[in-house]
Amino acid sequence: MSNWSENWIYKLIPQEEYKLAFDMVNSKSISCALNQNEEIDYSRIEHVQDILELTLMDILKSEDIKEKEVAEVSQKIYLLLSALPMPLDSIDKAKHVLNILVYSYIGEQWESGRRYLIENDINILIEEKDDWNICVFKKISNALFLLVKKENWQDLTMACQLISELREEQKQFELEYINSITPNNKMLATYELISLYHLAKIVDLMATFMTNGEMVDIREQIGMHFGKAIEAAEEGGIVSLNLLLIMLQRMLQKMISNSVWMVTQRVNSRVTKFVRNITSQEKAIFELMYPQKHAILEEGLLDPAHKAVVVNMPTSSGKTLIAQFRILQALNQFSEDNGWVVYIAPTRALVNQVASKLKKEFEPIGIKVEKMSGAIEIDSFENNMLTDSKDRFDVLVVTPEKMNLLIRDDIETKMGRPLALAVVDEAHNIEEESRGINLEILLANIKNDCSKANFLLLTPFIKNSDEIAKWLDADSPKSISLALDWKPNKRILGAIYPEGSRRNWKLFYQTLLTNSAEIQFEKKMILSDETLIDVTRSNLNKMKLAIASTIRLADRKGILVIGGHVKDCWNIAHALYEKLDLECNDDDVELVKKYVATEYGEEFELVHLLTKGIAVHHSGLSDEVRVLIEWLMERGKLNILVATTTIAQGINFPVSTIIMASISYPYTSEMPVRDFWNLVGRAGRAGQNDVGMIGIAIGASNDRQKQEELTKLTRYVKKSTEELVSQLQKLAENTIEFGKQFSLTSQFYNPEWSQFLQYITHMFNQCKDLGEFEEKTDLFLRRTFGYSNIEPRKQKILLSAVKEYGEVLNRNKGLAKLSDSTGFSMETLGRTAYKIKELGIRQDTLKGSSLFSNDSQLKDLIGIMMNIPEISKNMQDIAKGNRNLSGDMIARLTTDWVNGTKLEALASRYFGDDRDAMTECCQAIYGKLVNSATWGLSTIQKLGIKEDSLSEEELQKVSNLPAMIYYGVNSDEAILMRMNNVPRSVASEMGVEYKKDFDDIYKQSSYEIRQWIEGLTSDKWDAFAENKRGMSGSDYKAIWKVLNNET
Amino acid sequence: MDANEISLDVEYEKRDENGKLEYEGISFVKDEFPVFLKQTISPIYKDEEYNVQMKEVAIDMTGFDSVNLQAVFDTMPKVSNFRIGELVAEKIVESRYNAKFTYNSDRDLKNPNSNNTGADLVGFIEMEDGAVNFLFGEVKTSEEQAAPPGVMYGATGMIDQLVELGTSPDKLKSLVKWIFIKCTVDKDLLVQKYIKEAMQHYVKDRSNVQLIGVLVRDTNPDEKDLKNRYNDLRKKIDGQHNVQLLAVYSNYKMKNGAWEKLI
Repeated sequence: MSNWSENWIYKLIPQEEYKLAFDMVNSKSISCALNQNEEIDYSRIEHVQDILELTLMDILKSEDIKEKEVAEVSQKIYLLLSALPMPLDSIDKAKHVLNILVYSYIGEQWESGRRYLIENDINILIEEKDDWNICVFKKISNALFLLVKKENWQDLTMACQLISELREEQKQFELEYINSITPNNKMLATYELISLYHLAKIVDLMATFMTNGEMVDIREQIGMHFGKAIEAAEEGGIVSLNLLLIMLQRMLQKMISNSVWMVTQRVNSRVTKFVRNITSQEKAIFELMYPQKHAILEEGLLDPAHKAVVVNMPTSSGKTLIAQFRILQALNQFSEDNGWVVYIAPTRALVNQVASKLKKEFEPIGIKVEKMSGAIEIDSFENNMLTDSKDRFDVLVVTPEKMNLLIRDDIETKMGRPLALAVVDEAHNIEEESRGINLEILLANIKNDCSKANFLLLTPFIKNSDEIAKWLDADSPKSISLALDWKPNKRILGAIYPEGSRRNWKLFYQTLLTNSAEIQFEKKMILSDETLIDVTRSNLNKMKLAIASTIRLADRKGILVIGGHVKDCWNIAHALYEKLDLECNDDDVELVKKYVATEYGEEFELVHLLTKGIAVHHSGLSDEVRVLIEWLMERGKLNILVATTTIAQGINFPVSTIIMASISYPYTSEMPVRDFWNLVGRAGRAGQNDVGMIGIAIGASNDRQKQEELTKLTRYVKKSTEELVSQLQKLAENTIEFGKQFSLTSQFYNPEWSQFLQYITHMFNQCKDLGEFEEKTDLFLRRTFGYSNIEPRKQKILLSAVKEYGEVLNRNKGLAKLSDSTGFSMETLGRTAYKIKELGIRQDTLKGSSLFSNDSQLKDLIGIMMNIPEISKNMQDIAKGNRNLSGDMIARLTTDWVNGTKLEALASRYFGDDRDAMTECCQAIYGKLVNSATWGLSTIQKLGIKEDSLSEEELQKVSNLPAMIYYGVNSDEAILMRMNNVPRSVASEMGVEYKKDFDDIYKQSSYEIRQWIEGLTSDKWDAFAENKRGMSGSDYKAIWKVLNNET
Repeated sequence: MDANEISLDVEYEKRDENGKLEYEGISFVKDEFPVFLKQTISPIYKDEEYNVQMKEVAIDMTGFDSVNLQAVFDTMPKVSNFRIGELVAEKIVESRYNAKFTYNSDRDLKNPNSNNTGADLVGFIEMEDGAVNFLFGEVKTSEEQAAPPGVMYGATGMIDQLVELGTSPDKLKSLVKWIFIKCTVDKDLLVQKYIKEAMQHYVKDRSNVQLIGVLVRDTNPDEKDLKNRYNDLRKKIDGQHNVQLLAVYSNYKMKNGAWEKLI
């Protein structure tokens, strides 16, 4: 709270009165969330709201208005107002809602006000008995509501339409109304109409401006009309209209500031085109949310002087749009050199999502977007993408690992175009234990290799964002944080525990105070006074508590339950299925159910779960099914989704409720605080439940344990997020010991160090000789984020170890080069090359698709991979499953996978017959095989094939073999289909069809392929679907559209 | 003639057990009322240039038609008894009860046909104990012979309007905000002092608001004008605010446009 709390009006009533009012509002929110009734004395809330409004007016009187104070007080008023019951009288209702909108805008939270409007479905009924002035006021109110709502341009047109109607109706009703008024009041009635007509004109102007942004003097125009309207209201002595107008003026001025058209006034034609496009699409965007406005318009995101900008903002603050504007600016700035942009997203799923969104919004304005697979190899299609000079992409979406490979492969030279901007989504992953180093090194590499590149890092809040911006751009760093406490939605967070004994226990929900955007209110509430599941208190573990509380809260559609392990998820979902009598009649759910049944078998548990609108989401499902489940949840089609904590990394949709049976990652410790808040931030969405609810089950088999766990949890949720620490720094500090020999050559077996070694190797390759490398070593190290923070004595040890490693590299220049292009350390490569020789693997083995036939040498290759440190863990994990797979079996599994065997068959053939078999099968394939075996195979190919001995066509085929493993198909054309999100089960058939239509499948752009798929007749789709039990052609098409993010 | 200089006779008054005024009837000394109208009220009227202002707020540029509205301005009589009554009430309340009206109160704040009605009198009052409170009031002017006259009754009558003022929180809140905004532009230090003090009292306790009803009459003074009406009012307000009534007897008939002619 800032200075306004010292305001004299604010201080006129004691603090307790404020606290009481806000406690009442919070308590009401919580009771609502729990579906409990609570009697409230609204007059106390109204009183405080009144005082705050007066306080605000006093603040606005000041000559030097502090916008932050204005926003903060307005947010509070908004909170109170929106908790009040809706007035019954229609005029009172209109005024009440307008007030709510006013304060949501002034409080920089217009999207909350808009949500209120939509949730309450506000429309003021005009009745026959209404006098003309009442009718005018009501219609203007409705037009104002449309102006705020504006789901698309039709709403704005409708707002203008309402005003035109009034102009027509004036002719019919005005005179009669005036004549009906007693002479004493005629003048005043006239003033009232004058005032309202000006307001009508204002709405008209605003709606037109929001539609096309063409009125440059919109502020002056509405300012003039407001002046007249206020003056007339004053003359007419219409006090409340007068007050309303004064506030509406502030609101609409804010709306102008928020308008996306404001961005077009600063930059270039690309931005204007883009804005035209997003304002005319079906789900249009007309206004920027506060964080976006703050970053773009107030903090100079688009100022080319800043080479590196770190935007740290909470979940759901619309970071993608921020990135989009920055991308357009960068493309423009580097248009002469044909500059391009890379968007780095942390997971395969997010790469897909982001790419689809960018394609959808950029393609119509002529900006080409492409994505690359997460595989650490470059297949022939991707290679074409980079080298095709005709059909160049402007934006590339990739994972950090892939980008690192591209950079090391000297992408800028290959493309002959400079990288203009690197957007790094979820950049806080720099601190992530296993992948953090990769990201840090990627940024260091870009800094080193791409001299023109700018950076935009998007992260949730990090304390030391300045430091990070400075690392990337020492001269003009910029870190953007919110200046205001901005909450995307209301949330409550609490612990769930039982009290009682034996089978006689009650369930409680106790809210906890946090440092974050949650409702700050302590209250212990009874969640259920009946025993919801037949278990004794001492046997109530966290999982069972989660089940019990989900049963209790099942009315809140869209519950996300977090279980610790995949097995827990199945068990929770199963229990809920048995206990709950839920219904789900929805075409989308039905479609997904059919697809799952086709892919996994009719008896697969998820099929049954879906009949009640329950689903699971974890590593034991294919990528496709996970996308489909997310899609259902996002669209509010699921009652309950049970997922593992890993969903925190990819979740991109809001849910009504989160019940957590675990706040630990599987097999590791507590969830990092930042991840926890990232997940929790998703609770609360536009829907019936305004308040997002988070319940965390705590172990409470007896009272003592309950108390201990409650204390622990209370502490956990109060922890503030710490500074971002480099994994390299941690690694160096943990590994290097004083007084002990430290050599990098002995670290290659460690995947984290291996990534660092590659960085060094890459730097080495760029130096003309060892001398230059040694000279620059210090510089290379300083390019990383972590190095300068390492304890100085350890810094020295690391420095000399790197120099020593340079000598090793100098002795093995050939391997050093290869290391760069494969991502494996030099040591690994040496050993692998030896193995290839030892096993007598010949070039022919590695170049044809016969590799995926039953008697091929693939088993030997798998054997090699199981000993490559960078991927051995994954490969060995596949082996460790239920059936203890041998290398030979993994080779056969891979072969079957590539040759199109269905998951159901793969699971029973290699993993057993139970439910867990399917889990293991999916985990093995999607979690391990597709990444590791792809990477391994492409490296082995590089070691075992002499490229100059092959024709271009042969090379193309060779480079697609690893991609076959990645996509699980056995032809180049099928790979192409998979790249465009065609489900694996029909990709081969479609590929064949595609090849018939195009001679050279390697030269098509993804846009053309998509067009081709779009244009397929239903007969063709039906043909693809033949023999796929249950799924029709149109079902497949629908699934493709979902996977391609087109719905 | 300043309002302080008028000689007014107290015809009747009623105080409560603590001596606080509940209502009173006062009358102008014969022939002083016309002088008062001429010297005090008439100049205020001269400032009111409705038509000029109408042009300022011209609605042509809103896309609406201005013909009917312009006609109202053109045909409106410049002077009316009810308007004179309001101005008289304001001046007398100001001088007699240490009240202060902050703005150029040349307009009625009330528009019965709109849903946004205000009050006839909006200002401050210095109470007998020296405390300053907000003052809101209603004014009725009548030449009817009956006591009390019809303007005291019904939905648009004085008592109901005062009750609405006192019991509808929204109305009071709006008026307070309105006067608060008005005071912003008022450089008068006394006004600044008053608003601060009145606001303090209002915020701490809503009942610290003075409501007043003023009846302006050209008949002979009669306590029946106020007596029962006051009791009714008090009952309905039920202690939520201080209330008081005042009847002003002009001692000068208004028939045949006698008052208007003096303006």
